[in-house]
This record gives sequence, structure tokens and C-alpha cells, in this order.
Amino acid sequence: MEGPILMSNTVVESKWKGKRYKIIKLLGKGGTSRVYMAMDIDSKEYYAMKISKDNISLNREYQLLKSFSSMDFIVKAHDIDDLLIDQQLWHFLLLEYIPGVNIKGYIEKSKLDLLTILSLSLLLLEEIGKIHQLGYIVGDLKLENIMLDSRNKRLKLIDLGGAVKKNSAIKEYTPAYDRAAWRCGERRGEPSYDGFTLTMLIIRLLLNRKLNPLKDRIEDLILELEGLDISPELIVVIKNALFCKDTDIKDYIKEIKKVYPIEEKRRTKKIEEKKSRIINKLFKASTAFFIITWILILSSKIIELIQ
Amino acid sequence: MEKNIAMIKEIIIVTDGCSNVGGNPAIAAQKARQRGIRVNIIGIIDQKAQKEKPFDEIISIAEAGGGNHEYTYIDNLYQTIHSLSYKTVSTTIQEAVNQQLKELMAQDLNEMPPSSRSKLLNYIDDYSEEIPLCCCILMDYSGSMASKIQSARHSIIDVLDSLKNRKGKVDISILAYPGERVDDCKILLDFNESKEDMKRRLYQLKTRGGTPTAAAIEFAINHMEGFIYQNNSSLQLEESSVG
Repeated sequence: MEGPILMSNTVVESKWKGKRYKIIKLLGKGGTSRVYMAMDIDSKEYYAMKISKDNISLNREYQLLKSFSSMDFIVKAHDIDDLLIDQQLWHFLLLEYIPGVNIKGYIEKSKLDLLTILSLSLLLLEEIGKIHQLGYIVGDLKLENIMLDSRNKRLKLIDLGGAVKKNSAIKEYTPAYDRAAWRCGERRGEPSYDGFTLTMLIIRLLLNRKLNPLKDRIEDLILELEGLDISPELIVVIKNALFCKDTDIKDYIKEIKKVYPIEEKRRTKKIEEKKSRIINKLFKASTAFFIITWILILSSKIIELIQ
Repeated sequence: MEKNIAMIKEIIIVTDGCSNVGGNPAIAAQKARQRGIRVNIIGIIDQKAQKEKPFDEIISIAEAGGGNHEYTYIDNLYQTIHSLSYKTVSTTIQEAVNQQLKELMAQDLNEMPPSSRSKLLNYIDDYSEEIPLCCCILMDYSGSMASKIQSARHSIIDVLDSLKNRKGKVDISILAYPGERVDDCKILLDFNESKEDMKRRLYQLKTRGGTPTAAAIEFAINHMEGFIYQNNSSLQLEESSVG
């Protein structure tokens, strides 16, 4: 059950609080829910309204979001209530509306360069670390759930549906980033589970293609990475995060911070090399021009002399 | 309440089409439901064919069996099995809670305001992790599944890995149908067996013949009940020998 199909401009009324919302457009749909952009008719404020039949998972998500309300990285939850649509009862979460694109949409248009990928992963790791400190594991971290908030230029995590308490079983996951699907560990809520997921996200961005645990082998992905212009140091960091069973997020951050300047140097070196190559070419071209003009002048002089 | 639902019993059928041999699977599913076993069913859609979801039968089996149905591509199979089995557990508990609430206060969960509902939902959510689960996965191994079976094998092993992380006890058995005869199944993994036993059998198994879904459901019911009966009597024996 995917969530109700609502047309734009439909007005829905919440069952308990009696608030009226105008549906603006569909923002997205997941396994058991649909998310609409909706406007509170009284306050004219925009919200993201996540509608589903699954009240257990909505309730879990609402409480999680409430307990993370101090974190700017995580979307704010405003309300939970029911809707009657065509005599059918639905439940909904009222979430902060975030204008902008998600990273998945973004990379479809433009490829991220390596330094951007590294800074992005640093930002994400910092936030994941904070979530771990509150006793939770993110679980189902994926590109379409990370928004680039266009108002204040921040990253926002818009879906915490997969989050679980530390040490309980992971309930939702995406095979491409799930360590059990890659045969690299168990589907259990440990900090290293998120560490693995984030590493697969980095690999996905670096290779700039979709990953499929049924078709790809993790060893081949690493070979593919080695074929790119990446420092051996970064490859080591990635390998550690994939194959080490107890990756610590703080250590992971340190490792990436160490690798960042190395990669930065490689880039600037490359640019300098490119520059010097251009200067070389210019120099050669100008010398050639110089010689040719001289030859021309000389030959014309000679012709003059002969005449 | 704990006594009523001391264990969740479910059958998950994985098939790519309609049954074409034997009786009506919806009737078999209803029989399971009457015995406290929920029947869920997953319809495999062909990625290339892009056909319309063809199987009315799938909906009728899930309805008769008190379970859920879902369509998926073979590549997403393990995720679907995983989420369906979680859903079964929580809806079963939710229904039991609802029944109790109706008796106590003449209202069910949805008739309570979200703030007071929330506590009960939390309880259901936690309890879903802990309650023992007995699950029988019925794999359609008929001729038409031949091309998808490689992926399906991977999925089955994955499901086992995943469910063992629950807090509560999990007994899982995996059956393939049709078996040697039309009316039986091949046991790929029996309750109490290890994953290694199954891996070998999985790779030896060949797809064959028609799709006798009704007979397979009946087989699964007997198989599951036999196991539970044996388990209970051995528990009682232990208790009496201690006493």
C-alpha cells in the first residue's frame, strides 16, 4: 500500500485537530507512503505531508524526529494526525518543507568532483556521529534522502524511517548500501553499519554509477576505484571502512581529514601541470611564429637582393 | 494477550504467476488463516516484459490468508520478504491489541487520539522485535521461475541472515514446490537446520513442472504444525522430567 493518490488543490482535513491543508503536489513516494507538499490553509505555511497506513512506522518516525529536534541536520516534525480520504483512514506526519534538490537528483545533472565528495562525506559523518551519540543508528541512509536545502545552503536528512536503537535489528535498508547484501557483515544496528553505508555512498559517487550487490563484487569495485585518479591513501581508508568490523565514526572522520589535503595537493599539482603544459605549448608556438616570420622576412630580403 | 499470540506463524509464498495444477489456493490460504497462520504472497514481476500486474489470484490468496501481498522485481526480492515479515508481525500484534481494546473500552487504536495511541504503538513496536516467529517460505520452483532462480537463491540466504538479528526466537523453514510429486514440497531448510545444510540443496535443485500452489500451502501448514507440536511436546517432556 503506497499511500493515497491526491490531486493538486485537494483540501484535506486532519481528524483530531481539524486543521485544513491544501495539497500542492506530490514530492515523492516510498514503499508504504506518499509525501505531498501541502499548505496549511490558515497560516499559509508549506509543509511536507507524509501519508501512510502504517501507523507503527509513522509513530516511530515521529518520535525519533522529535528526539532529534535539536539537530539542524534532521528535518523537523510538526504534527501527527489522521486523515479520512474516501472513507478510508490514513495516518500522516507533518514535516518541515525543504525546498531544493536531493543529492540523487543533483548528481543526475552534474557529477561531483572528488574534493566535493570528500567534504560531503565529512559533513555526513559528523552528523551520523551525533546521531550515534543519541543512541541511534541511521540504517537506511541514501542519496535521495539527503537534501541540499536551498534556503540556508545546508544538508538535510529528510527520512529517518530506517533508524533503529543501537544493537537492534535493521528493519529498512537499500541493498546497494547494505553491508549484509554485500556479504560484509550483519544487518544489525551498530555504528559500523552506518560507516559501511556511507562508504558505499562515497564509492557510488566516485564511480558515478549505480551499484548492485547482485551483479557487482566488492573487490571489483575497489579495482574500479584504483583505475580512477585517486590517491592510494584514500583507497586504504575506503578498504578499512568496508572490511573492518568495528569502524569508529570519529576515527573515520580523522582518516578522511588526513586524506583530504593529499587529494587537494594532487588536484592543484594536476592543475599546475596542466598550466605549465599550456605555457610550454604557447612558448613553442610563439618561437615557431618568431622563426617563421624571420624566415619570411629574410627570404623576402633575399628575393629583393636577387632582383 | 501474551497467551493468545505466544508465537507468530506465517507463510510467505514467492511465485511468478498463477497456480495451474491442483485445487484453489485461496481456500488453502483460508484454511491456514483459520489455524492462526497468516499467508503472505510475493508476486515476481518480469523486469523485461513490463506486463501489467497479472495476478488476481495473488490478491485473493493474501486476502483469504489474512496477510499482505506485494509485487516486486526479482532483484528486490529479499528486501520484500524482509519487510513483509516485519509487517506481518506488527499487524498481527496490532490486531490482537485492537481486539483487547475493543473488549476493554469499546474502541480500537484508530479511534484513539494520536498522543494516547502512541504509547501502545511503541509497545507493539518493541514487542514485535521480541515475540517468537515461526515462518515458512514457500518458493515456486516451477519451470517459469528458471531464469530468476539464481537471484532467488541469493535472496533466501539473505533473509536467513537478516531474521536471525531479531531479539525474539525465529524458526524458519524453506520449502520449494513442486517436489517429487505434485502434492508435496521439497524441504530446502527444515526448522532447526543450519544454513549450510540448505546452501547445498539450493544449488542442486532444478526447476520443474507446474505450479500447484494450493497443495504447497497445505503441505506448509502440516509441516509447520508438525514442528510446533513436536517442539511443544519436547518442552513438556523437559518440564516433567525436571518436575
